[in-house]
Amino acid sequence: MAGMGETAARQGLRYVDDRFGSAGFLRKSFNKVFPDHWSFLLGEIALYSFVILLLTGVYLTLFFHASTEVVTYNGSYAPLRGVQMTDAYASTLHMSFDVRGGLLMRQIHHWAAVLFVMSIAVHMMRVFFTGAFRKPRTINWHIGVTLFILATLEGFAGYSLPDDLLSGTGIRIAYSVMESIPVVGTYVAYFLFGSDFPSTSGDFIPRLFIIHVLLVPGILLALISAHMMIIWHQKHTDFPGPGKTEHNVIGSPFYPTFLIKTNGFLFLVFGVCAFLGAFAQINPVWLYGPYNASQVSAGSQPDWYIFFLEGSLRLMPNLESNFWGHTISWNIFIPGVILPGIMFNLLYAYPSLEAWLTKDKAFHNLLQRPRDTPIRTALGVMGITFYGILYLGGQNDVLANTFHWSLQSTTWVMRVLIIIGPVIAFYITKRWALGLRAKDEERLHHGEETGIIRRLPSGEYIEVHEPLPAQRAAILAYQLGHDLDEHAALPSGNGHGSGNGNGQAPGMARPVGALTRAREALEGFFFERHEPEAGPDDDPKTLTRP
Amino acid sequence: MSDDAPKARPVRKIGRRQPLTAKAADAQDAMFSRASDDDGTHAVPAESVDIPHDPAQLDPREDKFAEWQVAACFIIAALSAVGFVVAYVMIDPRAAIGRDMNYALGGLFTTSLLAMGAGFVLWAKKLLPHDKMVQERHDFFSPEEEELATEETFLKGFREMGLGSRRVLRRSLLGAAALLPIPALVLLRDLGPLPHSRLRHTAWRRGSKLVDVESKLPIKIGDLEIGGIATVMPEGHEEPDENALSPTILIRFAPGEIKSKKEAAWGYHDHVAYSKICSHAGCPISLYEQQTHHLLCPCHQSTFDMADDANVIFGPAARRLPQLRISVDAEGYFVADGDYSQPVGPSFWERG
Repeated sequence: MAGMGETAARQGLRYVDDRFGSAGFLRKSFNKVFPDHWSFLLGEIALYSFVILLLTGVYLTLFFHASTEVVTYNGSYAPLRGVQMTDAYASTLHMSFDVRGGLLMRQIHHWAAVLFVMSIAVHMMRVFFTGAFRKPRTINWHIGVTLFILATLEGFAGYSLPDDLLSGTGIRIAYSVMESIPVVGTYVAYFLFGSDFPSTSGDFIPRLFIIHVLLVPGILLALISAHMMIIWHQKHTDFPGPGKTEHNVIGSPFYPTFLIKTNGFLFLVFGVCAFLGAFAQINPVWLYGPYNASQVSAGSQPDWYIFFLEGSLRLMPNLESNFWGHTISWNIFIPGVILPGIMFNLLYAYPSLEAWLTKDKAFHNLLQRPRDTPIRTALGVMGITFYGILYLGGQNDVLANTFHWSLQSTTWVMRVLIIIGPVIAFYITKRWALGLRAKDEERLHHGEETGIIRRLPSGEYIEVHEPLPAQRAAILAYQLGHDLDEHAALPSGNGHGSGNGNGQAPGMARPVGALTRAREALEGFFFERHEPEAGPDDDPKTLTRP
Repeated sequence: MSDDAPKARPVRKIGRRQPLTAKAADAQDAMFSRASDDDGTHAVPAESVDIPHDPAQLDPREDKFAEWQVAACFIIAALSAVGFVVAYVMIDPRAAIGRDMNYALGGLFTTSLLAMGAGFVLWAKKLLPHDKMVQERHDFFSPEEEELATEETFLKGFREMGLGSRRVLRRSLLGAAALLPIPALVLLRDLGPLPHSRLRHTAWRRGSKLVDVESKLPIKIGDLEIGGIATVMPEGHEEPDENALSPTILIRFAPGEIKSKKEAAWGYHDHVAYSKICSHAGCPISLYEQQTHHLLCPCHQSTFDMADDANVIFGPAARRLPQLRISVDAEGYFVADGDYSQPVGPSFWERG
């Protein structure tokens, strides 16, 4: 039997090779090594949620009517029978109550969307804090940021489709944000919606639908493919470890080990989404009722990834300018357009900014621990804190209501926190990372504590330290940025300190200008970590175990 | 390949290390005898990178047990799939869809997916070799002469085109390239109507009766209790979704409560009407506190003092809510004296 199977497999491979000459490529692909670390699964969660979104989304399109035509509902959900509503909302009710498994697919789709954006965000944090975005992976970071933005837009477009009271409120606010853009805002809003708000012309829901099911998913699919192909081509990064260098990858072969593992992971992610879809209610549009321009419910809350925008709109002071017959609504334009613009552009620019400030032009395949780069880590936590306070600001009414705080003081506390919170977070994180590094330096030079107390002939008591195993010490020294040539386990070329300027074409030296001077002024900021720690080597009280 | 990478084939050391089971050794042999490739891919023993073997790879009984564990997962997955179909057919959809149906279908779907996933993970964890593969990374940049040759080719091609020396050609091409996208932009013109002055007007006219959106009846003087509030639409344009800027609230104060003279003058006998559309982001404002006369927008918490001409006392809104001038007609019905005197709702560039 094995013989038959083998012959068939050989014939199949031969058939493909005769047409593509693919043998070498396929063997290299089967052999492709994937390093193992739990944090490398975060991106896979994002990938698999996208697969789940495509599968469940296609099912939902079989039942959803992208139409604002007004119909009278007469389906199974008794409380809304006889109510006038758009066909979009009626078909959402129909697929929830009259299609067996329809509600399940809708809820899995929504949970997978929540998971998709969240796993992208957490995956981005992993990439940021470990320095995986550094050369040569800068372009993949840019693709990743674009994916994050598109995923957010895609999610917003998706939950706005059912035309229920909650989604209509979100659309109303989006319309106002568009209107706030100076000069062209009114036209942007009118052209996108095809009319005044809400779209009685009937164009808006079909347009949103095609954006949600074709345009954005198409771009997402193309960019995700590019993201994966670049990873495949450049090979995955890895943490320093036994035998690992800048010039090799150690891990499981793609076929069969990684394939079986990742297949299992796909099913587990799908299983978790199915569990949530079955037992955790999400977006019960039938409770909100159809959209009505004269109504809104208290505690209207968007999906989590829109909270930061909601928060920035809520925390912004009420500024507005009127001049020469024109109005600029700073209270919407700044939090709704300028602020997200700055946030996402900083994300795009960060790899180049860091490389420029640290003059690091080297290639990096080994990852750093957050403590290895205290300033980067502190900047990252600063950004997360800023985002986090906006996120909380998006639910100031719910917080005030739950904890019986005054709504006004809650808002004012957050207005202050949004300014000082990130600064405090930066300082604490930096000190924390420097402290962890100091601890690592101590372990490197003194060894591990053993808990053994010994009394010296002089009567003095000391604790015996055990030196780290050579390999462990070499890895730690590498992580702390020491040049330790005597430890052969990890060769140099690691990019710590000396950038070797690979790929720099001749005659491209930069003239000294204002930018260079600015960089030199900022350099101290990034290189603070290279300040020498207290020299522990000459500590006479340290004994090592023979 | 760098010298420091472990590259030894596993040497069956005699010592404390337990020998692998026949099946695990067979799998390991298969892994170690793979053909390499131009990345120099080769296997290294698990021990050399500090990875322990699974007990199932050392003890034949554990191996048998692990195989059954994996098989049990796959069997559960298969049975749940069958159960899904049975539940789909058996459960009465009219009685239980959205509740029991969702639990049953979702629960069985979950079980089959999770069991499938667990089966794959256990298979990889317990039965596949824990040995690792090593492969080289290559430089991502090309050799210098390669780079130079490509740059030359690109620049030479540019010279062939003659864009540098042929000035007329270059300028006419730039001109065409600049104008060609304009038809595409023009095509977008009919995406929507021009705003004109639509944002400046609502459906309110002189003499429009104030129709309650709940009861669909015009409101007469005396219909509202003191402290009462109603959402109203202009008669003949009662559908809020088609007149999204028109929703208005009618409030009745106790005598003497209104602080603003203008507010009292534009109202009628302690009744005042204000736009319901928030001057911040356009949400219909709906939370009225009778004691303080504060109207709070649930979207971004802008708060307006309705006894003081809808003055903004908190939140991101920058402007008062516009007031609708009202009076009472001969039959005692509230009517508007005309449209709002300023645009309602959120700000926009042309508002002024």
